[in-house]
Amino acid sequence: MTAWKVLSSIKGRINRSDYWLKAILPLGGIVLGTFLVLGALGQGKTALYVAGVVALVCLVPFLAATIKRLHDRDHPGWHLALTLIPVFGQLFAIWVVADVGFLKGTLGNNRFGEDPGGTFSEVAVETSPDALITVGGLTKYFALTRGVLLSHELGQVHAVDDVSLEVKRGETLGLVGETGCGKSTLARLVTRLIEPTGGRIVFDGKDITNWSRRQLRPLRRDMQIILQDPYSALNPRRPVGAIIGEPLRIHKLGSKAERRAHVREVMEMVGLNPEHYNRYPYEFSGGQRQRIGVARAIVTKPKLILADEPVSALDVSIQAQVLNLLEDLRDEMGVTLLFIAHDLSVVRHVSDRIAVMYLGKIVELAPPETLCSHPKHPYTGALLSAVPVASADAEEARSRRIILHGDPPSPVDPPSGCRFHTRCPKAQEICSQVEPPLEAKGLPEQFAACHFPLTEEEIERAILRPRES
Amino acid sequence: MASLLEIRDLHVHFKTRDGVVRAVEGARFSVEHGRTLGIVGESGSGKSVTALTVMGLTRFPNATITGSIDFDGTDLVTLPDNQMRSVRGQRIAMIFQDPLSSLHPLYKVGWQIVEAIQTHEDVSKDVARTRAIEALHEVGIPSPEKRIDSYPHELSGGMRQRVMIAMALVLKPDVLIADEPTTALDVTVQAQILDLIRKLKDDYQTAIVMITHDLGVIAEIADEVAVMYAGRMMERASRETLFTKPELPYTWGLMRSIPRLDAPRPGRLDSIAGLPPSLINLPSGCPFHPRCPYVMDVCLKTEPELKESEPDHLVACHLATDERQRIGRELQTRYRS
Repeated sequence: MTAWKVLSSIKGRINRSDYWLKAILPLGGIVLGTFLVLGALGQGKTALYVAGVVALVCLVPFLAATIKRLHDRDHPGWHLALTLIPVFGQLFAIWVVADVGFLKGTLGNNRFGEDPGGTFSEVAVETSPDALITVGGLTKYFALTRGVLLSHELGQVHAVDDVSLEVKRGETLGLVGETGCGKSTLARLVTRLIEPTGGRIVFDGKDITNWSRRQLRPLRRDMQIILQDPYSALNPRRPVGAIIGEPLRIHKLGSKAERRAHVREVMEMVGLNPEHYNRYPYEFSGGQRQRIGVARAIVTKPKLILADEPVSALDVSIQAQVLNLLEDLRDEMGVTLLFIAHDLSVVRHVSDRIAVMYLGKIVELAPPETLCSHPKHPYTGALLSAVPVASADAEEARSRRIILHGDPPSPVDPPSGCRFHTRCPKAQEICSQVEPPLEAKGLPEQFAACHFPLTEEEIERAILRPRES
Repeated sequence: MASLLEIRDLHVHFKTRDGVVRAVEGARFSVEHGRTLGIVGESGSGKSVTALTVMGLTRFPNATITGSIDFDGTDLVTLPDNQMRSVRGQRIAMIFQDPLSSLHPLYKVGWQIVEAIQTHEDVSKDVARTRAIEALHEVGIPSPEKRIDSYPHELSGGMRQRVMIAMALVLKPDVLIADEPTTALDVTVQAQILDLIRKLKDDYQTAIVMITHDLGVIAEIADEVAVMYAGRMMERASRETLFTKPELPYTWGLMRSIPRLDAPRPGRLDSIAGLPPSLINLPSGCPFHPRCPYVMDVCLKTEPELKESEPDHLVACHLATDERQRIGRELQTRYRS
């Protein structure tokens, strides 16, 4: 092979002390060596660096061969050019890799499973024994960059900002908010599917903020996710039995036969026919696919299930079936459920507590009846009054509605003070200056972040409340 | 008095490799100026195909369309393509569910509106552009003279939908068909958009056909409601009637399965058992019978006819009228007591 011949010829060349080979190879070697050391220090960027190294190492003999052939032409100036080009080429390649690896890494947008934690001041997190998850000061900023090779930062998307929360074992916490409020990001941060920019996460009594991927892996058995779109959440090329059984396979739970039996059991639990084990996703309807997603999430008997808009893409009648299923499973398995949705009526139905998010912050936290009948935060009030009511009273409900004007502000440049002040009907000067803390307000177990919470009168005027039975 | 748009006994079938898809089987409804007809149905109910057929957008080689769509004296089913072009967009306009996929991503929104104007009217580009800016202003887009040069991806979901509405209304059509216009939007934006549609309806007396699966949206905006299932119209009534005394088991099922903010939390949601039917292999008799808790022998054999059970209230069901009325009333008192 050419490469082999070239390598031998290089070897021969070195011996005949051609100066340019003597210059390039050691120089190249030093550069590559630095590259490897830097890579190793990056703790786990190994895959990329190894690939980079292999690519660059393979390049060298071919570069050498080209140079050799051109060199023989013996034109003036060729020598210099052909010496410098490979060296600078290698430097440039390494710079690109470092650019991608380091720059993005330090900003927390880390695809290589790095540990960026603690960029913010150390946050103390108090955990109570019946809390499955406790997070303190959890923050996630995504970098907005322009440019591919020489990227520079334009700004940061404040997706989740300084959120502290506790989720008790066995409870269903509803996360509600509009597009871009950070609810999906928060849920993924809690399970470290996305790396936080700051803050602490305690799961089942262990501080997992800085755990490596290897340490986290066994924990992932206990955290599962149900995704929104039943059409893209399942691998279309695998039979559903294999899809549902995959978590068991990955965590090496049980023998092949045991896994199969368990999958069939789980399929029955979610209302699927176990005989359809070998069918492919396309043979199922949307609601059934969502059930497959649910089955996959419960198969390892997790402690926590993240349900990210599990019913938004489904028809109303199927929605009810899947919600009932989730509730039944929760009652049977005692699993903790983090339920994310933008539809307040759905969230109210399943949750033990509801957290309302706006632009990366939790603005209100309360049990559903309290939240829906006695909201304290004006944004919650607006959300409640915006939900269209399917009854003949709709006209009346509408005339009372709080209409928020305009679009939510950009999370790249959130408003000062209280983030809601630009659209709040009750905003005063202090709202644009001082950010209100999330503290106990109103009824027991109710927390709101507002300087001027809603009064009973205002609620009465704006919202149709549930009639007590 | 003849209606502005009247559909009678519309059938739309598509021949496919797997069989004939009976997308619409005998739809019938009418719309007037300044009134809103809501069409409720889930996936596969035929509501979108009905709307597309009105617009002449289902004229495929494998499609069989029978029945009549009478628009202001003209039958749209038999109207030749070139004449349909002048109706479509100009006299009947349509807006769709996801504005990001309905707007052309590579052209500025202003250009797209101008294109709509210039296709139907012989005006200069400048005049068209001015009208486009006016239209954007009317739908509540701030700084329309700047936004007119934005690309769709530079606008938020709510703004994009407003642009679609502006584009639909710029030629002052007689009918606006809205196919799930707010499903992809947040609830507060949805409220704004519904308000906008209502205001424009009042200002221009446009007839609106609102297609949705969300009964809440229907309750807000529709004057009359038609419930579709498996391509058939199964119930039709005024909004007031539908929400106070519905008479169709499917409608009851829909209403019971929605979690409602204005009612105490039920332990379980009453869901409708089973799945929507295949449109190729429809169940015999009444298409809803496999899922109906009130099913009787006759339901498997004969399709129920759409009959008037009380003035202006059409229902297609084999259950006895007084039985239906009783159940319907009972259901609604649960929510109103």
